[in-house]
Amino acid sequence: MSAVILVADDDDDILLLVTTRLRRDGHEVVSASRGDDALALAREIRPALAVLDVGMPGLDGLEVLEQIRGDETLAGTRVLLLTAKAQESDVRRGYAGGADAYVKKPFSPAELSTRVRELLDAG
Amino acid sequence: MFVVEQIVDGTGSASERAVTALYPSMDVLLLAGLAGFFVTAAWRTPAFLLLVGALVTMLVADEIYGLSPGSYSPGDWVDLGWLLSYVLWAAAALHPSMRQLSRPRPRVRQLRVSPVRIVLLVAALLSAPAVLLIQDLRGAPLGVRAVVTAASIMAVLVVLRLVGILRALEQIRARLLEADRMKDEFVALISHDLRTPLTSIMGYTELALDDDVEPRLDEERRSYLEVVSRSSARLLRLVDDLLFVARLQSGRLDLTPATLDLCEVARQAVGEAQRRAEAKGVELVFDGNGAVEVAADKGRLFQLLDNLVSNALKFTPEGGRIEVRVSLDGAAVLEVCDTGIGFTAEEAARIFERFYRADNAIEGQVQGTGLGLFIAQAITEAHGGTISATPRDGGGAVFRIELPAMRTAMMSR
Repeated sequence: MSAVILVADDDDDILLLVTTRLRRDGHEVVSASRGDDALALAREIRPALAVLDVGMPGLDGLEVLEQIRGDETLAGTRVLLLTAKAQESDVRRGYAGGADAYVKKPFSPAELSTRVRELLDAG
Repeated sequence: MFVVEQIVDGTGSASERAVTALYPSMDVLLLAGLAGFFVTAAWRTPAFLLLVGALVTMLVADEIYGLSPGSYSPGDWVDLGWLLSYVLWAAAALHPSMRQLSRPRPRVRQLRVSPVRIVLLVAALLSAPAVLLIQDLRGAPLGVRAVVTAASIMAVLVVLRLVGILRALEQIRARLLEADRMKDEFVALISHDLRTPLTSIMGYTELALDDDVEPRLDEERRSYLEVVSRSSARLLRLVDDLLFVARLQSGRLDLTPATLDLCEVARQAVGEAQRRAEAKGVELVFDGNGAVEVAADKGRLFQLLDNLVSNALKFTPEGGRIEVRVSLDGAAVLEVCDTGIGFTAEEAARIFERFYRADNAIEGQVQGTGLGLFIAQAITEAHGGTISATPRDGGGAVFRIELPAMRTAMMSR
């Protein structure tokens, strides 16, 4: 079964990298390059998984995560956070905010692909 | 100022009167000198506090005497003040921390002393005696006004000088704070702005090397991209190491200790390196059993062991052998023995220094930044352990880490 995945990152190259990898894996992917756009899209399409960059304009990834977790209609959406920051405190904040997985930049697309499959299979 | 009347009314010679006038002036100068010390870091030392105590005691005694010089006779209570002051002076001089006060501090740059400052200082020192001397030479009676004026000028000059010093220090402090802020921003820049382009480089290289996509790459192009892949992995490692060192220096290495089995973590690190060892034709073995429990941060401990194993692997040529041993010998001991290019006994002490690279490593053109062992040492010491390196007879080296073992730690408690 293929599922809709929402990918949000303000860096176009990384956005394309993630969407390309996930499309090759057979997923249907929609993308946004701002946090507020990502949230609007999430409410519209109710994706099975949202891959969110932490540092984004509009709303940052953690804020989008908070909004998604506060929205009952999005209860089925899993969230994977991407971050360029190496600080452990960031990871803790992400999990505290209800993230299902965390991938640090730079990540290997293959590793991301595995994590995405795990999350979708679990859900 | 209380001595002024005595000077004016006194019947002693001019020199006697000058000495009496200078006496409290000297206290003021000493106080100014100590105030100078006070604005430096030296004020925390016990010797400095003793000096201040001595001076204040002396000032108080002087003032009591100055208030009513006529009623003073030797053996008076006031003498006790002076005696106490002398004892404090002596204690300050004998206190071991006195060495800290007198030790020359490294100067960032030579301070330029302007001629104006020298003139001001000399004027400050000489104004009071000069006025007295001139009045005396003229045969004029020493007026209260003249002496008060001279003393006031001196006090004003001393205060101005102190204000100048304080202002300069305030500027230096502001510059240091600014520099510290810029360093933090730089670390954040390494963390974010270097990782983002690396994500693209490494990610797209991997996509390009993906075998599932047609048309397949020919071997030549594939080998080029593999070089890009290896180089970017090395660059990422360097960025991480530099970031780690920057965090170490600003004291932000936060550990979350848990009870861990050193054997298990070491086996994991060896397992991770096994594939690289096979690719290089190096035998990598692990020796250790039973639980050797330590209190450590899992991520950091793994980083430490991976660091040591990777280091041994890097310096061991094909056909070599690396042995990782874990044992309990009072402390939790981990040894990494290799048959690598090694280093000299003289270099053993310096090998953990930041950016230091052994001669063999440079000659053998083994790539590295000289940060790996510095980081290994920092992590070991943050866990209350010790790390050492000894060259082996016939080539190779032994790296030994000792961490406080949980069981012995509990027994000693």
